[in-house]
Amino acid sequence: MPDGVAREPAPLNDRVSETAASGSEARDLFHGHDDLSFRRVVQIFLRTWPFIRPAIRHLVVFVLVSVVVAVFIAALGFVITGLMNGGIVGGKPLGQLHITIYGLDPAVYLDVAELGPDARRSLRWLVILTTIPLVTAAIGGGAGLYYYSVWIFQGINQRMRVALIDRLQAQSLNYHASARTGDAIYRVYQDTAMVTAIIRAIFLEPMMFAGRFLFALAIVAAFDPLLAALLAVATVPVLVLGRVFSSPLRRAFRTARERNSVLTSWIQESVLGVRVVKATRSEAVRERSFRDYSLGAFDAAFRSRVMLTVLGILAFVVIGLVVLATQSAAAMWSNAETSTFARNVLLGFGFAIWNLGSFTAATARIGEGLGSMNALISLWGRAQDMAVGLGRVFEVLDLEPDIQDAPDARALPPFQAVVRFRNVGFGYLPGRLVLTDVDLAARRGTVTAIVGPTGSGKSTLMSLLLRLADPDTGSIEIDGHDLRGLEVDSLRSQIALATQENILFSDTVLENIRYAAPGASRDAAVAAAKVVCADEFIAALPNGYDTPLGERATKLSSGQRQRIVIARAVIKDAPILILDEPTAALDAETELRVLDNLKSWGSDRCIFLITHRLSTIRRADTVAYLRDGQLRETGTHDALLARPDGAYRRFVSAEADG
Amino acid sequence: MAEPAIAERISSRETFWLLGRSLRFVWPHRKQIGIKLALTLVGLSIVLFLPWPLKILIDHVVMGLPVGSSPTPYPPYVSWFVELLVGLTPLQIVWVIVAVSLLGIFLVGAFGGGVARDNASGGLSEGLDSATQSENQANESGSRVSGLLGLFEFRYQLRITHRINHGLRMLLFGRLMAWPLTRYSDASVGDAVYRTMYDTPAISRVCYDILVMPIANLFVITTVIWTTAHSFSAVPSVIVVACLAAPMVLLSTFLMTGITRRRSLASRAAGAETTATLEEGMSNVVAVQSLGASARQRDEFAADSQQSFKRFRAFMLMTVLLAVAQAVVAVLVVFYVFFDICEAIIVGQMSPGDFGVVYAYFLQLVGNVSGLGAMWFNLQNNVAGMRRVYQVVDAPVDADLQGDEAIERVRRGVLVDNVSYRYPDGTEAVRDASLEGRVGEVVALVGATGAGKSTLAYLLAGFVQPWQGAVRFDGIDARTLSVDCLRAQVAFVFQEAFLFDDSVENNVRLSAPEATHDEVVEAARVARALEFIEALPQGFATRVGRVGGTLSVGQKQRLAIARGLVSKTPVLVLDEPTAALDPETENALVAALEAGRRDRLLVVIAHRLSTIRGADRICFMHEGRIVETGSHDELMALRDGAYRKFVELQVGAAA
Repeated sequence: MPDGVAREPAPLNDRVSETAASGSEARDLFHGHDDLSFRRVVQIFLRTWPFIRPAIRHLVVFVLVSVVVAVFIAALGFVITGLMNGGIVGGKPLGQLHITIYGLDPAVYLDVAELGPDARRSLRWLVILTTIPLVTAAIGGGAGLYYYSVWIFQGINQRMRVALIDRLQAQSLNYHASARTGDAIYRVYQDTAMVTAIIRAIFLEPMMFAGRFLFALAIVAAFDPLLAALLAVATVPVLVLGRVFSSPLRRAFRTARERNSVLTSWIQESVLGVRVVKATRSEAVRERSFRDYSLGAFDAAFRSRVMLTVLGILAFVVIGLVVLATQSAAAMWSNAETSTFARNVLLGFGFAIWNLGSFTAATARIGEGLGSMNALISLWGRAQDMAVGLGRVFEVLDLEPDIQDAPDARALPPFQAVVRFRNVGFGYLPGRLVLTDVDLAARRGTVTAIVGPTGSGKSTLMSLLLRLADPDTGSIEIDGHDLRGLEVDSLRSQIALATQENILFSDTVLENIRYAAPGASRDAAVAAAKVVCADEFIAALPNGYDTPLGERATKLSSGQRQRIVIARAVIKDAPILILDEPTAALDAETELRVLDNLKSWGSDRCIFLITHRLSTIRRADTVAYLRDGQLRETGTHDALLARPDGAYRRFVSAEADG
Repeated sequence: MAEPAIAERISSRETFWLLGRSLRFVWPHRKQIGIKLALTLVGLSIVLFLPWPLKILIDHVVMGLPVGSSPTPYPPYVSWFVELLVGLTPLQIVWVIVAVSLLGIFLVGAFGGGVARDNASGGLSEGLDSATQSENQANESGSRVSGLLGLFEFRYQLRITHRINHGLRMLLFGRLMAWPLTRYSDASVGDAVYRTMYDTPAISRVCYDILVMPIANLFVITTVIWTTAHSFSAVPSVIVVACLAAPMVLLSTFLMTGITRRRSLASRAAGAETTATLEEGMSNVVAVQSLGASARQRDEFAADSQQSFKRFRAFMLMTVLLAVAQAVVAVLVVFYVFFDICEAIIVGQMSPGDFGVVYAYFLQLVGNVSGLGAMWFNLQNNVAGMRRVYQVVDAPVDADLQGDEAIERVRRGVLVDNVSYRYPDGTEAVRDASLEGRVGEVVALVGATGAGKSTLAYLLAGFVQPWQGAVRFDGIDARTLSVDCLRAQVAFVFQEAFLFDDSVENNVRLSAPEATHDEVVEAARVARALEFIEALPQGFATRVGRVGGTLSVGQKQRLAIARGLVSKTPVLVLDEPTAALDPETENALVAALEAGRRDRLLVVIAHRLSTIRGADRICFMHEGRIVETGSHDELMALRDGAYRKFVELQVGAAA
C-alpha cells in the first residue's frame, strides 16, 4: 500500500501559522493528498466512540431487534420457497418440516413422487398464511427500525456538531486569524454528518453484510460445497480491488471536500464584503474566481464519484462471473436431478435433490451472499470518503486550545486592587513581536488611557489581559494572581470589553445589550443604555428595545452601534472594563456625555481606555504611551506633557497642530 | 436569518409555475437530457429482457421442457432469442446463456434475471438532514445498468448535472453580488451560502424527475402491461391487476403530498438557521470569547441544530409512512394474483418459469408506478429549494434600479438635488438634502452620529436610490446611468475596512485591476501603509488572513484607503476612515489627500477638526437635513450656528 509510509500530518496549528506566513494555502488546497494510512483510518473510526457511547443502549436494542427481524424473515422465506417453488410451481413433494409446521398429511404431501393438483392448490393458502407475518415483520419492522435509527444517529451527529463548535469557539485568536469561517461551516455541516453514516457503515452494515454472506455460504455449502468454495474464493479479487482503490479514492474525496470548502468560504467572504465588492466594481473578478472554484469543485466531485462507480462496476464483474458459474452449474444439476450435498439436513425443507425448489433456494442464497459482498465493497469505497470527512473533523477536535485552564487552575477572587503587566512580550507569529517588555500597573478606581500610533500593540495588550492569548514572556497578574493559573471563565467574568469593531448579533436591541448578561432584566438594559446615551435613539426605533437588528446591523449608524456595544459592556457590571477605542465613531458631544457618565458609573472600577482623542485622554488618571510594542512613557497627561521633548508630547502636538 | 415566511404552504399552482421556470432553465441542456433519456431507455430495455433468460433456464434446463413447447407465448422481443435455442440440449442451452451472460456482464453488468444485476451509482453517504443530502443531489447521476454502458451513462449524466448546477451557482452568486445593499441588512451570510450551495441542486433534480423519470416509468409500465396481455392472456386477473395497480399506487401517493411539502420547507428553513447561527458565532468569535458567551453561542447552535434534526425527522416519518402505504397496497395486489397464477401453473396454462417472469415484471410495475406517484412527492420535496433559489434570482438587483446610459469621466462635479431617502423599514435618513461638489474640491460631511451622513454618502455612490430628488453627475441623473458607469465614477472607502483573503497587493488593487505594481506601491505610500507592508513576511504578496485577522484595525484601514487611492475615479468618498487612525498617520494622510485632490472630488465624513478644517465646503447635518453649508470660517462666523457649537465642544474638549 503506497500510503503505508504516509507521513504524519503536521499539527494544524503549525500549518496554520505556516500558511499565514507563506501564503501557500491555495497550493495546499488544490492538490489533494492522502495522509491517511489504513491504521489511521481505523483510528479515526474508533475515535467516534465517545460520541456513540451515550447511544450504545439504543444501538444494541436496534441491532438485536434487527437480527431478530432478519432471522425471522429469512426463516419464513426459506419455508415459503419450499412451499411455492418446490410444491406449487414445481409439483415436488414437501419436506418433513412443512408437514410438522402445518400438520399436513404425509401421505399426500411427502411420500409421493409428484404432488396432485388439489394438493398443490391447497398449498396456496399456506403460502398466504405464512406471508402475512413475513410481510408484517418486513414492512412494520423495517419502517419502525429505520425511523428508530434516524433518531439514534441524529443524536450522535448532534453531539459531534456541538463538540466541534465548542472546540472552535475555544480556539485562541491565533487560529482564527488564519482559518476560514466558511471552512468551519462546511466542516460542521458536511463532515459531522459523516458520523451518522460511519456508524452505520463501520459498525452496523458490515456486520449485517458479513452475517448475510456467511449465512449464505453455510446454506450453499449444504447444497453443494463446491459452489460455496467458489463463493468464498470470489472474496479474494474483490478484497484486492478494495485495497487497490482505497488510497486513490481517499485522495480524490479529500480534494473534493477541500474544494467544496474553499467554494463555501468564497461565497461567504464575498457576501460579507459585498459593499467593498460593489464599491470597487470587482463583481466580475469575484465571479470569475467563483467560476473557477465552482468548476474545480465539480471536477473533483466528478473524479471521485466516477472512481467510486468504477470500483463498483469492477467488483460486480467478479461477482457476476461467480454467479453465472454457480447458477449454470445448479441449473445443470437440477436438470439431472442430482441429489444435494447435505440431503439429510435439507430433506426437512424438501430440498433433498436438485429441483426447482432447490435451484431457487440455492441461487437466491448465492445472489444474496454475493449481493452482500457487492454492498460491502461499495460501502468500503464510501467509507474512504467518510474517513476523509472524519479526519477533517478530528483535525479541529484535536486542536488543543492554546488557552486552557491549568490542571490546578483556581478561580479568580473578586477583584480588589491592581492589574499588573510584568515585562510582557508577545507575538502572533513567531519572530514578529507585537509587544516587548511592557510593564504597567493599573489600580482600582483609576482610568488608564493606552495611547499610541496604530499598530503599536494597544489592542493586543488588552487581549492578553482577557487571556485571548498568553504572553510569550513575562506575566500578567490581577491582585498578584498570574492569569495563567486562573480559570479562564472566572477571569473573563470579571472583565467587560467594548471593542472598536462593534459586532452586533442578529437579534433585538435588548438581547444585544444583555448578550453578555443573559439574566439581566429589561430595566438593567435600559439603565445601561442610559449610561451610554443610547436610550434616546433606541426608544425612537420602530419597536424600541425590541427592534431586531439585521446581521450586519446596517440600519444603525456606526456611532449608534458603538454605543450599544458599550452598553453591553456596562451591563455586565464587571470590576474591570476595557474600552478599546469605543468612542471613535461618536461625535464630540456624544463622546463627552458618554465618558462623563462612564466615569461616574465606574468610580470603583478599573477602566482601561484605548483611544486617540485628546479630549478622552485628558480624563484618564494614567496615560500609558505605547510605540512599536514598547511602553515609552507612563504618567498623567499633564506630567507627560511637561517633559520637554517627550515622545508623548510630540504625539500630542501632532494632533493639536492638525 | 432564514425568512420565516418560507415555512408557509406552497400552492399547487405555484408548484407548476416553479416547475415551468425550472424547465426553461434546463432548456439549453435539452439535447444532453435527451441523450440521457435514450440511454436510460436502452438500460431499461435490458432490464426488462432479463427475466426471460431465467425463465428459459428454469423451463428448459431445470424442468427439462423442450424448447418451443412452452404453454405461454414468448413476446416478440424474446422469441427471436428462443428460436436460436430450438433443438438444443439442456447443456447447450446453458452454454448459450453463459455466453450471452458473459457479454452482458461486461457490457451492461447484468444477466439472467434479477438474481444478479448491478446499477451504477456514485452516491456518497449522507447525513440525516437536507443540507448534506443536497450534496448528493448536486452530484445526481446513475444508471439502471452497470458495465460499460452503465459507466458511460453515469459519467454522461454526472457531467450534465454538474453543468446545470454550475450554471445555477454562477447565476445565484452573480445575483447575490448585484443585490442592492439595503437588501443585505436582512439577509444573512449563512442563508446566502445555503441557497447557493444546497438549494440549487433541487433544480437539476427536478429536471430529471420530470423530464426523464416519468418517460422511463411509462415505458416500463407500458411494456409490462403489453407483455402481460400478450403472454399471459390465460390468466385475466394478472392483466386486470396490472392495469389497476397504477391508479391505486398513485392515489396512495397523492394523499400524502400536502403534509410532506410543509415538512420539507420547515426542514430546510431550520437547516439555514443552523448555518446562520454558526456563521455568526464564528465570524464574531472575538466578541463571543471576550464576552464569555461561548457557552451561550454553543447552546444556541445546539438548539438550532436539534430543531433542524427534529424537522427532518418529521419529514422522514412522512416518507416512511408513504413507503409503508405503498408496500401494503403492493402486497394486497400480489396476494390477489397469486391464486390465479398458481392455478394456471397447476393446470398447465403457464410454465414454472413464467412464475419468475410475472414476479419480476410485477416488481417492475409496482416500482415504476410508485416512482410515478413519488414524482409528485419528490417535486414537493424540491419545490421548497427551487423557491428559495428563485427568491434570489427574482430579487431586484442594482441594475434594475439603475438605467443603462454611460458617461465619460465626470468633469464638473456632483449635484445632490433636493434628495430624500427612507430605508425600507420607514426610517427617514435623509431629508431634502442639497449640496454641490466640484471636481478638485474637498467636501466634508459633519454632524452627530445618526445624522444621515453615511446614508447621504451612499446616495452619492448609488448604493441606494433617492426616493425624491436626484443625484446628478455633470447634470445627468445618476439613476439613468448604468451601475458599472456609476461605480466607475465613485470610489468608496468604508468606515469598517474589509479585506479579502488574498494578497495585500490584490486587496489594494481591487478596484483597479489594471493598476501597475508601482501604482499600488505609490498608493500604499500615500496611505502610510508602505512601511508595515514591507515589514510583512512577503511584503505585498503576503496573504491577508480571514478578514485581515493579523493586521491591526488601523493597518486595515490604511489598506482600504490605499485601495480608494489606487482607483482613479473622479469622486472619492471616505466614510470616517480616520476614526481609528492615530493622529500622526491621520495628519499625514489628510495632507496626502489634499495633494491628490486636484483632479477629483473628495467627499469626507469626519469628526476631527484637522480633517474638517481643510475642506472647501462643510455640510453640517442634523436629523437627515443639511442645516448649514459653507467653509469653516463662514460657518464659524454664524453666531449660534450648529456647526460652531459642534466645533466649540470639540475644541473645548481638546485644547
